[in-house]
Amino acid sequence: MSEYIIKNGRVFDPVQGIKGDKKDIFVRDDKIVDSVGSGAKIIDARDKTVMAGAIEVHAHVAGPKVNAGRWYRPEDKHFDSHKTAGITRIEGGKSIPTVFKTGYEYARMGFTFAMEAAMPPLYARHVHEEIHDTPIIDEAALPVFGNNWFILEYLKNQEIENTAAYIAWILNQTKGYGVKVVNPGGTEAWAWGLNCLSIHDPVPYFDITPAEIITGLMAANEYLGLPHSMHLHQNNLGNPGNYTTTLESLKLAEGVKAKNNFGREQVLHSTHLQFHSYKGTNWGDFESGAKEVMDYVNRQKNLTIDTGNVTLDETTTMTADGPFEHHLHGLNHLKWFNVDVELETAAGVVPFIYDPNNAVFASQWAVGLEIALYANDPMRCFITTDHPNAGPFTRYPRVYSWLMSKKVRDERLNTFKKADKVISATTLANSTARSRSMSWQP
Amino acid sequence: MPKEVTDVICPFCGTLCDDLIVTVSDDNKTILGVKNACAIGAEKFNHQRMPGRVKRPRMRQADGSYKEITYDEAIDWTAKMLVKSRKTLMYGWASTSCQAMSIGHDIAEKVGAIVDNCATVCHGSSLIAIEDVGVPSCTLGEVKNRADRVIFWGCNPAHAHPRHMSRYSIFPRGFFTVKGHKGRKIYCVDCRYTDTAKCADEFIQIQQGFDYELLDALRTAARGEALPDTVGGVPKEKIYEIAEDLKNARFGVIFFGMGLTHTMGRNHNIDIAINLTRDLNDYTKFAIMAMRGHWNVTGSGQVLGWQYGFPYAVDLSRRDQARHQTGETTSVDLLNRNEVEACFYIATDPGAHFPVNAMISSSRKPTVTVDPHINCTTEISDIHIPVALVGVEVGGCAYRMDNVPIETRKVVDPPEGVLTDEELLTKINQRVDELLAQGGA
Ligand code: SF4
Ligand SMILES: [Zn+2]
Repeated sequence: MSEYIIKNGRVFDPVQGIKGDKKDIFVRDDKIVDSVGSGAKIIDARDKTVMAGAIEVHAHVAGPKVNAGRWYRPEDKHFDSHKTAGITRIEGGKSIPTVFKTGYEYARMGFTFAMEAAMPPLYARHVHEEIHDTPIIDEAALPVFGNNWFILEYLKNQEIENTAAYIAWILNQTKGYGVKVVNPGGTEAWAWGLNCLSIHDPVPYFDITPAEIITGLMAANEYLGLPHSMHLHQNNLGNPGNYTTTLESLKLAEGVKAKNNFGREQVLHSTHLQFHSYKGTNWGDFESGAKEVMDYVNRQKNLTIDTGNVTLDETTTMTADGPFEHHLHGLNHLKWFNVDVELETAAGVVPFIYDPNNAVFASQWAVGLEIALYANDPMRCFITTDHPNAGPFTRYPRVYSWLMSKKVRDERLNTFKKADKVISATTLANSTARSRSMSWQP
Repeated sequence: MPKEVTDVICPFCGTLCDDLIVTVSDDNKTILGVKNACAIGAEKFNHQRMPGRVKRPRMRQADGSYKEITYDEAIDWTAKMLVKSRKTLMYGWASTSCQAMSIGHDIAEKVGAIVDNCATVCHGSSLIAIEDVGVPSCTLGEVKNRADRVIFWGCNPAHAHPRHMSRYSIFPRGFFTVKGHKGRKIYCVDCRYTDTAKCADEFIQIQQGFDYELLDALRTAARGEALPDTVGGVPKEKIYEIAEDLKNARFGVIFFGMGLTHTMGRNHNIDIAINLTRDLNDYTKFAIMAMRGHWNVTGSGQVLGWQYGFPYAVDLSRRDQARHQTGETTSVDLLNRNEVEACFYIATDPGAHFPVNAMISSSRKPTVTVDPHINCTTEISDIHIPVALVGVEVGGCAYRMDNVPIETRKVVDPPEGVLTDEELLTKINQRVDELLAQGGA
């Protein structure tokens, strides 16, 4: 039996409505209890926050593309490589930290778990080898399904049961935790150098559309009654005007009901929504579509989202959306890494510098904050940086302060070189006007 | 009754064939036969029952002869050497499992060593190029299922990766490649007419040392710009013709080997080959892949990558940060400059592959070699510690040349009392901990 008292900390528990009260927490054998014996070990938490371990719902922290990012960017270690007293292993890297640094940094911020957001089935063992070597925190991974040859064949023939059986087999084989879908159909098209930018573009050879893949995988996910809903990285990521694709994809969940006996209501999680909420026709007339997208999300109770906040750093983009990374490389001409995998997926990696002096990047920063600020139900909105795509997870404290304080947010907004342009392309500057959206702010 | 073990992974080359069938004696002690492997792969299994195998550590005596010592003595000696030396080269790793590497790195961090693998004398130049310009690549399964143009440039899989061509790159029929060989056009670019060239539809004989120029010419031709009459001995008409044919591929792939990495230009050759591949992606789909040779060298790069962020030549001697700089933290350069105080070699034979001067430097330092076999390196070592054969006598994870991780299979027991790499390294690690707790060696 092991017993602890966490003394004098400021305790937060949103479920019980405890907001920073000074309290002692008693722990016996990994469970919180009312009291413990006199021999309990005392942990002094004075001036510290005491809360349940935070959960990272979507990050790229383990696996082949993360590791490609690490080793093909030796320069990322120049930003940071050190060893802290009392810590056993060397920590290296800034946007793509080593497994040691990943575990330590999450733990330092109060996180105890991170979900690796895209596990290629063929490379599952690699993902797990990294998870094994990551200290302190727990990690799990979502295998990708939206471009799998078997899935595409089954769904073309509308065989939901076979799709579900195949998903069950893959989850078991790869020790995966849910159904991730990245650029459905588009990544398979990329194997021939093509893409599906709309959800009605046919996938070459397989004679099926992204819309049919999304609908079918949602159905199979509910057929199995999995713990998590389908987790979708939509088509047409990162392009001006893509908010219409986003709304169309989200609408596919209308009328779909979650089937389970543990209270999950959502049937679709739409990830890094910031990258999917753009209006305009090009980067010149680019505007935020966050309001339109979030108005829809707020109405549809069977959706959850995460933000994908741009942190305005030099970072490393990486996704199983292979064609997008190729496109990005065409824009910034930095070194391009790509690997096509048989049966399912193609991952790309490109370094990226979100220069705050650039009006587009500064506007992306605003769009990400808008997504969260427009959310009526914070329990359906998760904060992410889609680490490391929109920025490293180590920037969470900054993201939180931008979200929690209009003053901090406005300070950043008004010191952009192209502040005027950012203010006119987004609605962030008048965010106080939306008191409804901001009711959960202090 | 002898029994058959199926789906065995070959522990020899970077192709990591996963379809071997091994016949094992009833008592699990002897390998009787191997099916599906090529000659070099089968030999690896045959070694298991070779007479004269060393089964206990050996220590070199003043007169040059070796005397048997216990594992405990060898472990103690090794740990003391590692703790005492301010900078130890811990080189090799290509024939062991990723799990063993992980333990090795833990030791290296504690004692401040340099961890390097055989990329340092092999595809290190490819890794440098990828660090500079990235790489568009794919899995071998994609090649099998999609490729209709395959180029072998400065590599000779017919000898170095004998089953590569039948399993992935020339002959197999795949999902989108139902015609197999007939549906593929195979090019071989080399300065010699190799056995791989014999399998190609087109052999391009290049003048030695002109790889960079010819790759550059192909980029130029792909853009429709002017060329001189010949480049590297190849007439310009031919170059335009090839460039056009590559642009018309559905899915193309370039495989390259030591003929590019170790001829004039080195990493620049790879750089421009990658850039040609990138250019071709403006027209169609194209990938490029290094023919990684020594079995799990790819895995060493991966483990070093996720633990330190560099694929080889990782210098941990500063204790508070990892450093990686070709020419500075690479094994041959360290030895040539006499910069290390001790050498720890495992699962690779530098004595057979390093330049002579580097090995002369090495031979003057306290040296421990961990290897199942007697090889060139064991013969200049103070201690040789024999271990079980990874992939034959013990399992563990290894990475194929396309970075696909494969769990290998144990097919027979190791000889009585012989430790595995993981067991040995764990014991050395423990002894290092004890010594460090006591304040050093
Ligand atoms: S090609 Fe390589 S992996 Fe395959 S059997 Fe031969 S040596 Fe082994
Ligand atoms: Zn992501």
